[in-house]
Amino acid sequence: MDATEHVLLLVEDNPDHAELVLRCLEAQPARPRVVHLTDGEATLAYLTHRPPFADAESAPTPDLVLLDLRLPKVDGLDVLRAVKAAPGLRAIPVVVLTSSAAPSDVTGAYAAHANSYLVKPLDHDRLERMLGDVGRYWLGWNRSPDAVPSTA
Amino acid sequence: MTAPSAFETRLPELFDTHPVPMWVYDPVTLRYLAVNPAMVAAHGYSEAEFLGMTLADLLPPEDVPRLHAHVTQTREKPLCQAGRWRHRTKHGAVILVEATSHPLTYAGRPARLVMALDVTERVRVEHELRVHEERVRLASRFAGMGVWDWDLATGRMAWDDALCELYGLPPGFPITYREWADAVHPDDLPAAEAAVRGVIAGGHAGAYEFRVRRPDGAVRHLRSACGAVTDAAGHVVRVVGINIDVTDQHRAAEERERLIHKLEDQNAELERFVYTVSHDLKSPLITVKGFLGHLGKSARAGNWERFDADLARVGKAAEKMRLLLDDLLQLSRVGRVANPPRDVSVAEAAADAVQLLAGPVAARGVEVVIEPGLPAVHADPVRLTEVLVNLIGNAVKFMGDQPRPRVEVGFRPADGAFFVADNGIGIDPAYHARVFALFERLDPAAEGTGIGLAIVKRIVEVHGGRIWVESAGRGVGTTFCFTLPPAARRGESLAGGGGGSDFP
Repeated sequence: MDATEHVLLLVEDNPDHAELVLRCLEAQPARPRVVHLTDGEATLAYLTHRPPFADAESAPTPDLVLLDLRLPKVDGLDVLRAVKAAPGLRAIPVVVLTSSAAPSDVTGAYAAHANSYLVKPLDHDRLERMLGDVGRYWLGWNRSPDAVPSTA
Repeated sequence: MTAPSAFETRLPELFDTHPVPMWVYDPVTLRYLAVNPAMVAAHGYSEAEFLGMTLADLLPPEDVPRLHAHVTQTREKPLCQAGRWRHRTKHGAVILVEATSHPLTYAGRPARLVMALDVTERVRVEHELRVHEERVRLASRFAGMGVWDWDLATGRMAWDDALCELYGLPPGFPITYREWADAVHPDDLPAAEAAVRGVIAGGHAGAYEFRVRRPDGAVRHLRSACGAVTDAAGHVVRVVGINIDVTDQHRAAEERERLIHKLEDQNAELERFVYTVSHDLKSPLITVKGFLGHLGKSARAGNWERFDADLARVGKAAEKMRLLLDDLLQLSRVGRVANPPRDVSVAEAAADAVQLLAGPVAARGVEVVIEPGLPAVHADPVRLTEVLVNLIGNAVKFMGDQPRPRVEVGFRPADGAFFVADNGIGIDPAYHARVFALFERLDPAAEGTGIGLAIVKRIVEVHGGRIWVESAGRGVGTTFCFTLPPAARRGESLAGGGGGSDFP
């Protein structure tokens, strides 16, 4: 793993769940820099560098998106579709992290080219393990194409 | 007028050899004066026996008065039809004869010559034909069936009255192939014509279905079965067939399809509902279990500030679960009839709702206006109040920073919709479809579970009504519209209710 700080975009409207995920990520040895957004509209604005996220320094393109599905304003699946339809964004790994285990949501997420679908575990220990695995895999082992503009 | 000819000079040979029974009688005594051999053969009496008898002896006793009347009437007449008569033969059989009588002289005295055709068999066949024809006609009518016969050489089509009735045409209406084709629904005509052509080409029987449009506009589904009739050379000369009205079967099949679709939709909705519920109940549970883990850590580390904050999160999540369960129970009760629907005043229900919301309404300083003359509806009064509490409550909740918050409850005769309109924050048209979905909250910071509008929608739909939202966007207010069945007794609107008669 190189020294470059990884950027993780957490899209989660439930403040308690966001707090739990943030604490899990903080506990990890290689802490990514976390950007937390709470709705789909802001997420799309962030990823396309639209105001108030026009500044690339304070709003860097993420290396990984953790995306909840039920979001206010623009739904998670719509965010996913928009990201995967945009040539400059589609290589960013998007991992769906939701409490929904509905088959229609799983099918819909993969139809919209989600890179992975994770159901939030009830146990805190399992959530911590899961997020550790996600970080190690997507920010450690996984290679993304150089074409993806990075913060560097 | 010429005098009757004398029997002896003109007829003896023809009389004796003719195959039709004949006799000469005395119109005064009714005695037989002469009978021919055919008469003898037909009745079994010998010539000698006949000459000792009168005409009345051959008739059943009840017909004798008619004989006397007839003879008196025809005594002076020339050739005339004498009608049908029953004759008893010597062996006791009854035959039916059709007689013609003719004046002449016999042995110098006026007499009449009678020819009597035996029509027993013909009448029996005619009767059987009539019975058969009536049987077919009745059976056709009871089966909703009409018969047609198409002569290919002349192009003429013979339709029975029942078929004309199926097509909504007067009995005996003259029909050609063109009229038939015009009556058939354009979408079904090609297939029906192809079927008829197939029957003609193959010379076999075929069955097919099509719709017809009657002159009065009614559409009926007909099933046709027909076959080709060939001449001695094997050429098809006629096509004969029937039409049966199968509209009821079609309607039943369509109804069945509709119910199947409805059940499929309901099943899909139920599945979505279960997953939505499990998702939304799991959400606070994740919070509870997650922060419970942190409570122990904070306690061991002596971080009491974080301990208290996390404890508050756990408490709030547990309360959220309680609210969700309460609302779910309420939602589950909507489908069941709590109170039988009755004619109920919307204005009164709206007043009750405002009373129940008195706290929030006063706190936010909202002016609630209930339009006078709202029409009455046929609904469960408790549920109606619930609808209005939810809609007015929502309007009060989402007033934003509106300096003069106002909610209006009214009725639009144009589309028969009741409305609850506010001048609050409004809803972007992009979210109009989502507001009624279960647990859908456009503003996650707002209190509530996101079940309220789902309950309202369910109540309105259980009553057979519709609900929708109208809003040009943020900042311009929101109008929720809904329809409910009108009151059974018209004019049940409140005093001065002008809108009542306009209710659809």
